[in-house]
Amino acid sequence: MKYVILIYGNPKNWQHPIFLQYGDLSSEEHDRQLAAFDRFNAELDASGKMLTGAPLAAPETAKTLKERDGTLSITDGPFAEAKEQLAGFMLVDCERIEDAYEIAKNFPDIKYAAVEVRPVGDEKYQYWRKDS
Amino acid sequence: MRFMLMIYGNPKNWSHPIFLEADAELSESDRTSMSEQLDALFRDTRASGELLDVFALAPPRQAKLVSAKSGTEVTTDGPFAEAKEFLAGTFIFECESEERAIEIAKRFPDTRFGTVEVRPIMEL
Repeated sequence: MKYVILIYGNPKNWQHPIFLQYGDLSSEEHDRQLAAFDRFNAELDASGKMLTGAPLAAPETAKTLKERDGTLSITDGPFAEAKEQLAGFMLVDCERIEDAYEIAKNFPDIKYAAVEVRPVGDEKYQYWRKDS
Repeated sequence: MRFMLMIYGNPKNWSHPIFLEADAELSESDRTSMSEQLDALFRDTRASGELLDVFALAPPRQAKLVSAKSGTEVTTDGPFAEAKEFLAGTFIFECESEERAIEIAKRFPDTRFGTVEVRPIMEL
């Protein structure tokens, strides 16, 4: 089964990894968290479970398109008017949703906002990737 | 530059392509023409090499949240955003410019019933 892990956040500065932008971290703590995250990423890469992922730019760089009554509008900013915004995602291939939780738990972002895990289906339109 | 196009919707039934499930009475010819519109977009952007990734999400009620805000890690039923419209799927395109990404976004029938968000992906 394929699962999407959606990472939400609301940091002071929009940069990735986004959890490093919360609060005032000492440089030792910053380095420690970054090293732990790098280790997690290396392990995940080696496991072959990660299919793709991407860090998103800041919400203010988003454009939102809607057509109502035949008129298309393009507005600045993200769709959701929320305090916490989608910061990035990862697509993983796991046998069970619990395995996806195990991956999701490694994101320090769970301490500041939340990480959402949702299945992806396998029918037409549900998953396609260039070169695969 | 890579862009993520996020499709938001609140259909009667959750299945993909989600615009065919919109809470609107669609004629058979409308359904056919919108399906063709999407197929043509896929065909064109696959041929141009711009389309990189597509994935359609399962219904929001199947989402789970992992959070440790209170200091203890908990897994609860999601989704994270409490909204009328939910993230239904995402598309990743490699585009020359934001203008081109918006041009692609305009071709999604979902703009009629829901919303399409275009956001750059950060290259780290």
